[in-house]
Amino acid sequence: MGSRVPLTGLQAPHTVIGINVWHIGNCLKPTSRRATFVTKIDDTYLDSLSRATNIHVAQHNRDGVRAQLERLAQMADLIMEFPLRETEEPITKLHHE
Amino acid sequence: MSDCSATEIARSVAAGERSAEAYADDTLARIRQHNPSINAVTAVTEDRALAEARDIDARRLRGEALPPLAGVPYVVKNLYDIEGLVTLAGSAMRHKSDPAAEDAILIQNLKKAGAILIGTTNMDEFACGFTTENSHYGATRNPHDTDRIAGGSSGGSAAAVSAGITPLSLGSDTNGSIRVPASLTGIFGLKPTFGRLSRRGAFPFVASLDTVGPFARSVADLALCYDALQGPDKGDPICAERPDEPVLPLLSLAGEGLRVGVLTGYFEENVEVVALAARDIALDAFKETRPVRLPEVERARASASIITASEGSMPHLDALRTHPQDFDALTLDRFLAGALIPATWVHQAQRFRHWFLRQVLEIFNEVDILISAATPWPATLIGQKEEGLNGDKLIVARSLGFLTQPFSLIGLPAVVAPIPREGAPPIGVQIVAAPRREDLVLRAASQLEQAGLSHAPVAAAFQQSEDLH
Repeated sequence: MGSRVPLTGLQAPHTVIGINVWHIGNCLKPTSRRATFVTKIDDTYLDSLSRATNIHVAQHNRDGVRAQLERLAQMADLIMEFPLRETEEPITKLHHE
Repeated sequence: MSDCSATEIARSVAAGERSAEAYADDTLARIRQHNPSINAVTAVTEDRALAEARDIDARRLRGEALPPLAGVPYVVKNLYDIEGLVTLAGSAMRHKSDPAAEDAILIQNLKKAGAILIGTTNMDEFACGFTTENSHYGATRNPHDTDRIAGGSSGGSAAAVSAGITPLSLGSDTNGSIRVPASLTGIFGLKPTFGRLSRRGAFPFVASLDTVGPFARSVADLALCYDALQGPDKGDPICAERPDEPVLPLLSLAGEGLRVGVLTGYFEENVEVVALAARDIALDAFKETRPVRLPEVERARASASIITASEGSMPHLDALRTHPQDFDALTLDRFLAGALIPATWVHQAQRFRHWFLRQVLEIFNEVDILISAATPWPATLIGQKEEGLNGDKLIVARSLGFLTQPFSLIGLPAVVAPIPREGAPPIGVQIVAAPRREDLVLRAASQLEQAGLSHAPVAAAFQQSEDLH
């Protein structure tokens, strides 16, 4: 069961390389089967990242890419809000020796 | 002969009761007869198969001791390199690539074990999906109901075994791509510990999550195949430098002494009632169980998804820049999005992975195995976008990995064991253990099999293979 992420009104919880990823209204956690995706990714984000990475997002792909990014943004909320210790190291590759 | 096990084929070939060539001929005939209705096999390596089979027969005639899989036919997901063939990985754009210079390591290992490579199988494009509804090569159909999906991304390999075309096949599992199709097609599938089997020569999807493994219709066959696949490989940087740890001799222990944890919370809330019922049936095989609630499972799945999005797009950056039109439309959206996400998300997901691994390893001090349903539902209809889950509507392609992804994140071994349902599509249960404890998940699956609760008959419509020639 998804717990409600307390986002009300207009907030910008992340600022990423100078571009705001806007979250509007209330949203539910994206891995929940009750998830509704209301996090918005605007054209500014797509255009800026597209230039920075030299990856063109064609007009007819924009809705689909935006939908994917909005889903990922909500998943990112789940893990960005989790209180890890500052010393927690990343695992970039598992080594189950 | 469609229901012959790998164990039985290897025994009869070694005993001279039937030739490897005859088994290969039968398999080729079954592909001709059955593949049009399920679209599991994408290429047939007929000349090579017959040459390998004749070699096995010649070795027997010379009195040589035959290896453990002598004469056993198998197929592989078409992301495995096969010498002389282009490795498609489910894509159309790779048609222009050079043929592979050598076999993938796992195919080399199976050749040493005497198995006969018959061909390649359908998959989601670049292993990015859970349904094997490939826009270039068509959907693979579920042998138990050809109106339904076989699951993915290793759907062709699962369907081939479920339809009795071969007793064994190979797939790959990044977020559930062996476990999901095993569940939906009613067969056994093993996702080994991350790093346990070499991935060299298997087209990469997500470098820090990818694993490779087998499908079969019995636990003994699954173990026999897994034992043949083992072996260190310096060519895969994450392949553990460990000696082989054969599991087949341990199967007779079955459930003896196993401490069984039943996954509750998230794993009960994100499944339909039929999946929960299958899990409960499986629990009847064990004398004693205890409930286990893993912490923060939603965040674990989210972390796997973030890492998948980022790492999964990496092998395709050039293609995204130069010929994006050659991707499947949905794959393209996913890869473009993955290429554009902030590094902070990925880094935090990798940090969370460390935390989650520690929590789960603690739990394995108390239990040996964890059991849940493998998928939220049995197979959905081909083309069906949404499915209900306890009153909600979910997107099928996004949701089939609900129960598998959390364990992918931390690289644990898992087996899926099928629970047949009379007159309805099958569904599987997922059994998970601590790293490198493939023996425990296979023993638990063997316990289910011995109790008569889990079995994987060839799908009913494919059991008759008369007049093959």
